[in-house]
Amino acid sequence: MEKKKILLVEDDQFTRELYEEVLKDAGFDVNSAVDGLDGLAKIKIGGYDLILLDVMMPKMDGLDVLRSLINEPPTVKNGPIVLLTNLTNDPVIDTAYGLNAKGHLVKSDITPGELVEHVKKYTGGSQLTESSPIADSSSS
Amino acid sequence: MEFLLPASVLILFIFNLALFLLFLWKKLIRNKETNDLKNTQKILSALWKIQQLILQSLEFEEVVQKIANAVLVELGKYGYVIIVLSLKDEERGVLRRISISETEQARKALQFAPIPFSQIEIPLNANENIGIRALNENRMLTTNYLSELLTPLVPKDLSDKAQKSAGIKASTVFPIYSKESSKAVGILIFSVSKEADKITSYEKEIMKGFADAVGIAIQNSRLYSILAETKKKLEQANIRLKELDKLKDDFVSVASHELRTPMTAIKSYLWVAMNKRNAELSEDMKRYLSRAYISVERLINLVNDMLNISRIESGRIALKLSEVDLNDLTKEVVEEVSVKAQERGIRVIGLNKQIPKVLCDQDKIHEVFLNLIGNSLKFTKTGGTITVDFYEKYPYVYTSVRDTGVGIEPENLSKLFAKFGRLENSYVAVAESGGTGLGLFITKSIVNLHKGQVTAESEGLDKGSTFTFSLPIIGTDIAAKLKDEAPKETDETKDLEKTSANFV
Repeated sequence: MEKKKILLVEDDQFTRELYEEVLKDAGFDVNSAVDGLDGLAKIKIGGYDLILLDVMMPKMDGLDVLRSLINEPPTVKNGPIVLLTNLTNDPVIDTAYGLNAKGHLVKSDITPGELVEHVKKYTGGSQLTESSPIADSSSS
Repeated sequence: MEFLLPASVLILFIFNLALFLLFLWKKLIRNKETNDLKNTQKILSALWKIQQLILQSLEFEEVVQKIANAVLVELGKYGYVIIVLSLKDEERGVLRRISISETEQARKALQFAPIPFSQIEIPLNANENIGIRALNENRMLTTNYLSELLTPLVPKDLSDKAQKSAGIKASTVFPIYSKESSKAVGILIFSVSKEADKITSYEKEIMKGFADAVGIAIQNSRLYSILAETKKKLEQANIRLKELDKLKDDFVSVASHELRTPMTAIKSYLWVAMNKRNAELSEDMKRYLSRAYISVERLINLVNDMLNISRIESGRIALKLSEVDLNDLTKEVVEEVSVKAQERGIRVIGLNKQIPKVLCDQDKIHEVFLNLIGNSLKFTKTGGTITVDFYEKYPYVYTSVRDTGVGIEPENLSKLFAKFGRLENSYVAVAESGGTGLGLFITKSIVNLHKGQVTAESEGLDKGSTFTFSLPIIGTDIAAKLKDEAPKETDETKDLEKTSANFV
């Protein structure tokens, strides 16, 4: 079975590397971007099953990434874009939904295990979890 | 902000009025001695009109203009044509023209003035000026030359022309006294179309009376101006405070977002360290990591609770009010906590009672339930029971959460609802659950927003605790008041953050 392709756009290095590791261990093909501009360039290449997009980032914030995509949609299609942020109760969340974001995960509220569960749900597929070296989230 | 005249000012007004009436009485006696009853009556009536003007209006400029005009009405028949009020401006060292009677003669005289009336300023050291002399020597002075009142500002030839054009023959200057100072604060100039020696003592008496009345008006007006200024300053301070409150709220929002980034990294790495397969941890290592993990969770909860408190205190939590059946809400909450309660071997029971619906924000009262039941779960041992019960006492429905837990010592009951009001012996239990010490404070704040109250009761240690909160019954006056006064949703309002209350 082909691995699902995930793009992780996250500026905080520690968080990015951990999420990348955890998602790879869970059997996903993970690519990452370190800021909004980098993220936009990679989204435009297309072909991702899911894009996890931070909001507060240097160079270009998540909302501007979403706006750019509405103005110039990528020629090769992507799966849903889900916000992965620590903003809660913020008007930008509503704005993002208006700009085609399909979901909203609060980093400080979830464990890496729960992130994997959410990603599985959004990619609509069961991954090869038996190969995962990380226990599933129910043990958290 | 509604502006009310402070009592102290009213008392001063009344005091001034009393002084003035005393002054009238003296006039009356003195004039009786001259047996000029007719003149006395006229003086009384004229002065009464002035006093009315002082009381009618408090704005200084308005009062003095009205006085200048009124004096002229009274004295006009004796040939008085212009009345000018000048006040000392100590800061700038000048005697400044304040108001002039609005007469044809005044208009004619002003035609010759090289500068506008309001800009006529005589230096306080210009001793050749008769106005300055009257001021400095504290006495009435009369002159046949208008130029003596305008020197050194206006050249003599222009003053003479103005005097001729207005038909002025003589001018009498009276110093004006205010209670604030023993020195004169200004002068009142009466210009008349007859020679100085034709001015009668009666006229001088009435002019003196007017000068004194102006002194009182000035004093009252200054008090009023000080008040008006204070009011303005208070309004500005109020606006600034609101701005600061918004800045504080914005700062808390930004700071909490910045705090969450490293806390997320700590939490996530600890989670992975504890959950990595094929990496067997020693029991000690597991304990270290799990305590670090619980602590970072508490830190995250603290940030959320502080955001909540900041929002509640600055009125940025809106209530989405609806009619709620507390039996239904309780059923929902009991189901929600059932897994956690079973794990701990504690029974949670929601009693179904016949109670009217209440007006509340369902989501926020849900948080209140979770916080109270959550607390009971923390402090009740295996085998214990938590009961949710209701009773109606118009205009409220009271909901109680009663447990068979560790109880609370009487002296600690009052500390429970304070910020960080955690009790000493409860620290371990709270720490293990990720509590922040802010849960009950937030619960109280939410219930208070609903015009209700929260209370805690316990018969002592190991006797269990009962927390009770009240919510207004629909259709009552208090419910109507809640509807009116509850914070409404705006662009500024936000929802509650996920709190430590819903740890279950």
